[in-house]
Amino acid sequence: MQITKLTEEEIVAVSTVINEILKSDDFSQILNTHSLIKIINRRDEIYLIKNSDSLYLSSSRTSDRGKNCIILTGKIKLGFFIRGKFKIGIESLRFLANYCQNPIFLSPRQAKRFIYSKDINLRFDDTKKGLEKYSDGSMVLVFNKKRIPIGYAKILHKQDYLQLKNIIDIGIYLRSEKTAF
Amino acid sequence: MAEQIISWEFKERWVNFYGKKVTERILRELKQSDPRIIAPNTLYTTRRQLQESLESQGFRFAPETPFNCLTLEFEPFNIVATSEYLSGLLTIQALTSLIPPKCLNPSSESVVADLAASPGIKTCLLAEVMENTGTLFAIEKAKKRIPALKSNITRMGIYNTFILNCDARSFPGLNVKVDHIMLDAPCTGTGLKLKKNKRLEPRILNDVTRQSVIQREILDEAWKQLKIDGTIVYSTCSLEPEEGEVQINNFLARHEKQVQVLPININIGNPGNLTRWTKVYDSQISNTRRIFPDQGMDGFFIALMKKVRE
Repeated sequence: MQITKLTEEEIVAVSTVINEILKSDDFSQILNTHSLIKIINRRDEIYLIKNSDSLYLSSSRTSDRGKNCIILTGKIKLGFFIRGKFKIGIESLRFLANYCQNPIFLSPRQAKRFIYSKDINLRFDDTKKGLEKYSDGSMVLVFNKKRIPIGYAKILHKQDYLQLKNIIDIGIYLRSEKTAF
Repeated sequence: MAEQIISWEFKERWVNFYGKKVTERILRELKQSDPRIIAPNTLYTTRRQLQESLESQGFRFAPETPFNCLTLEFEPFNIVATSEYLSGLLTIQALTSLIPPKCLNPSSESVVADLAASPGIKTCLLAEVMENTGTLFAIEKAKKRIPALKSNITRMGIYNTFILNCDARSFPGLNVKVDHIMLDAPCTGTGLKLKKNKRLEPRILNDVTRQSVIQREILDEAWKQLKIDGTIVYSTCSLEPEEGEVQINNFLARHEKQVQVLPININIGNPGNLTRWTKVYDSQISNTRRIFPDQGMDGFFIALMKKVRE
């Protein structure tokens, strides 16, 4: 495993995507909070590491051990870079769900469609929480009614409804077990 | 049919080693298939929460299951399609898979190696016992089995695991001393019940010899990497003594005065016994555990050993 440092542009790209999903919290602030350290049960320093095109959240101790390894996982993989653009990965879902301020909740029927990689259309009137606050093209975290995070979606404003365009969902663990990981 | 999968040579051996009555029971049980066992991911949920959540979707469970698990009686649709499964709140597995991690019982912050790890069900259970702390090495030789291992580990939300794609026999090359080792060794799998027994060609006696050689090599190499006072749990889902009691007996002979076989605190199964095999054997063999298919799970052998000195 070769660990490389992130460039300034890459840090901006990552922060932009994650701040957009979390809506209120600043990602760099989250990195310094105690709660994160609690989540991954480490008491040492936590930072971002990059291996080829993948971006991980890791602790200093695990990275030291990982230098001798052939394949490395076991950290929180936040996502990956494609031609300089940062794409969010499904592994980050559980972690980011703890910090998300404005998630979208789907009914069981809609949630099932979403897990099957379908886009969801929401009428403006069937959401009392105010869908107007989501701007066109913004990323959101999608939950089901039992507060289980099920994926990421992009909001698209249509004429009389909102479309949740499926970016990535937990169904990928079944659909492409052999290729996605 | 089980008869087609288990060749007559094996039956004859079982009659010699376990007796006629036990063999008849084994052959009858191998044709049956067990219900699905659901284990909650204790890092993120509890058994009760999971049961309530699944029952609201129409799933029904048997009243009692050992090891804090759930036995599925009726499923309205495949449980794999539920959001609970996909978000890693549960695993589907055989009851026998739950025994080795519970026997090993590693403390948090310890360094543990899981040899021959794929598809990672036991690795996940081990990480649950370790409460997602410490360091866990999951070692798998076959590259095509790595994606399933990775997928399971990421789905279950486990952060303390390194996946190494290398032969378990070359594990010492990494130069890491570990506190505990879990070796669910590659085996002939003659103890597996029919539903899981999907192989097309029957096993032959040569397979037993070949697998037991591999097991011996892995066991010896793993032993070198164990710290003093460290423990290793060895298990196979085979009914052949060469992969179970005889393997451990030979291991004890090779590493005289270094090994202490610890007793296993489970109520299922019988103590390991070699009286029908040989007259001279190590008395510590009685601390191992042999489970037959008629005891509510697959045929299984397990031994827990402690390194007393180098």
